Amino acid sequence: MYEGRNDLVKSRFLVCLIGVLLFCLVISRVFAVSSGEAEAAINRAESRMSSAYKSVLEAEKAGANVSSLLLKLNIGSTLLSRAQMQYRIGNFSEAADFANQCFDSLDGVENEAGTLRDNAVTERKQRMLISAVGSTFAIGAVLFASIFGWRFFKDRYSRRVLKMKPEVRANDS
Amino acid sequence: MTLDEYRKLFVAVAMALVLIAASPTLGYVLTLPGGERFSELWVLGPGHMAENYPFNVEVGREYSLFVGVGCHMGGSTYYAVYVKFRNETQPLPDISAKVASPLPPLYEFQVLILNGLTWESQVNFTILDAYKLGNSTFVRLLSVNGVVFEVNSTASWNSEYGGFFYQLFFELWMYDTAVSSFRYHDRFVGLWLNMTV
Repeated sequence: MYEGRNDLVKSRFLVCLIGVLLFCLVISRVFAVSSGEAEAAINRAESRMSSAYKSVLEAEKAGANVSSLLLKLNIGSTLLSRAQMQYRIGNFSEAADFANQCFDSLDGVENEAGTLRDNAVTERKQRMLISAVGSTFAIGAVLFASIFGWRFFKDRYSRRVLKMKPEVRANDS
Repeated sequence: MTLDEYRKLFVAVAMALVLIAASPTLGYVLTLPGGERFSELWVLGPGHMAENYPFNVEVGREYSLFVGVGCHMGGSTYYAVYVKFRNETQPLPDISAKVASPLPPLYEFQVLILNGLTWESQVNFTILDAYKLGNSTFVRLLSVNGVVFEVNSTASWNSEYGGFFYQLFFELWMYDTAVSSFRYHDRFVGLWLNMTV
């Protein structure tokens, strides 16, 4: 009687074990990432990284302070390099995971860079206008002062020359 | 001084003052050429100094280095540092042709650096699996910063210097926005390793 019960327990255990193994197999198949999927995720992340970097460069050229954006780009670049390394050693699911993290980490960087660039361009235009007006006034003042100063100096110089008495020298010859 | 000489002096002083007055605006309009643009790449030993570099390496032991990059390119620059491993017969980057080594990169760093700043990172490497095959050694697995790479590299006995020599080297690449990919920046530093199995 006990032997029959033991056999039943054993057979149940075997069925459960096979069930668990099949479940793991199915789950791993469902969640496994192929090399193509990983490559696509990396390409997507690279593309976002590239456009984010280009927009940050534009903002920097316009005179914006991009140090905060570079911090975000550095987080993205670290994740992207990890994705590429994992892809090279054949860990496609990790590669895809890192690539997706990179993609998400760069969300909003382009817009922020665009705003910074626009602000920098506006500020630059305003500063240029102010300095152009200031320079124009300063140049006008310099020219005005120079012309009147020269006239004043010339008059004084002429008066001084006219007041001079001729020097008489003895003719030695 | 004659009146004509005074006039010349007045004109010179007036022109100098006009230039000074116009300089804030000229600064926006004129673009002066910057200094020489270049990048630095270096490798330091475990004590953050150019000394005590690992040389005689053995299986299972971790060695430490520091790799650094300096940016003087006139703007923020996106760099990649590729870590490669070779034996004495495998190619290094071609300096005259400015071409990178065709060996595949193992570990890689990607970093963006502001102009005038530097970046540095630790590199820990371990030879995980290597064995001796007659008069040569075979390195199968190398770990760099915890990532394991299959290198499968054989080094023959170098009778001139007495060792089985490999080289761990670092190539500097720079992102080219025109082609949207990294291109070799013509800089590399290497570290000779003597495999003691």
